Amino acid sequence: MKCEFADSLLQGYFDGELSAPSACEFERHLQHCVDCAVELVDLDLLRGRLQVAQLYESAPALLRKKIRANLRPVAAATAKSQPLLWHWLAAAAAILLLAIAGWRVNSMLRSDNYQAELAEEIVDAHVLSLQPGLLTGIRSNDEQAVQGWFKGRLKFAIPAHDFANEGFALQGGRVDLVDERSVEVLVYASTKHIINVFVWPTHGRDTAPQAGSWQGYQWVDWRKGRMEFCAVSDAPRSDLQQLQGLFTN
Amino acid sequence: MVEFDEELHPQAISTPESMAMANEDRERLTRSLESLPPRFREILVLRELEGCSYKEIAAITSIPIGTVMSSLSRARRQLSSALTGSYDKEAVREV
Repeated sequence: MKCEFADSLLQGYFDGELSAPSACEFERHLQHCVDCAVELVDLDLLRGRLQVAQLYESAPALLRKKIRANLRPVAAATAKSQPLLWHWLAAAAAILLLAIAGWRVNSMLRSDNYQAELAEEIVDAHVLSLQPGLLTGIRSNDEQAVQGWFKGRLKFAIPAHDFANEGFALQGGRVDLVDERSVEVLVYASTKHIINVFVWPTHGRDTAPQAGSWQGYQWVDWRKGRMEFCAVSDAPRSDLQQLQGLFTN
Repeated sequence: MVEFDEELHPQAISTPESMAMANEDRERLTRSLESLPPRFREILVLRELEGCSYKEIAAITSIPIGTVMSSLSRARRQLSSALTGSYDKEAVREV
């Protein structure tokens, strides 16, 4: 009872790969083929299950997104760099295959590990942001300007404060991705270090600051007023604790 | 405009029952995926989880683009039947 289109046009149609004329042809076919209509529904259900299940850990997902974000500058270059684009895809694929080979079920239950894993992912995001061009979406020490920039982008963004007098000069801000969510990042510079402060809304109660380190970077995390903050830097932990104090007061 | 929308985020699922069900489904999906030949698993992941186009899949996996389409078809069918099989096995266990 299987329709002859099932193996070819149907797959392409479902994945949005058909040219407009072929898609039209297939849609005409759909009007009188129940088998294909049912097959499309089944494929859609299967896709839904795969995507909802969150089969990847979130840290690799963040890195992959960053890699894909880097693909665009390469693609925008001349045709001569076309081989470079495939090189980038291969690099992305290598990381993907590592994820496939080391297949791990993402635990949805918030465990003690979750805080540590989240901190690790935030440190990764901090490190990636140190690359040229990735640190700020807006480069300014003007509190109003930074606040205005976030206003059009994040509903929950808290105001930016410059603490230059205390040794933490506001550099600007950006929107970053953590655990599949968009977060506000306020960027500071002390004498020798860049400090990223990640900010996002939370249901959790206020907490005292927790500190840790990952890959040689220090992080300090705290919750206040239904917002969670995580400051990351290669600066000494005491600097981060000082900045945390400035935020909290 | 980018918003933090809790409705879309899995952490919105809060009841123990629905979390347990979601975990079960993930286990079942993972086992079924692992039962597929690596090449099928790879292209399914690239298409469904990474959103890669046929052209990108062909480049990454070094298989001809025409083969991508038919391989996807077979991979999806195999995953479906692996999933159905896992339900049947459970039914047998419960008897």
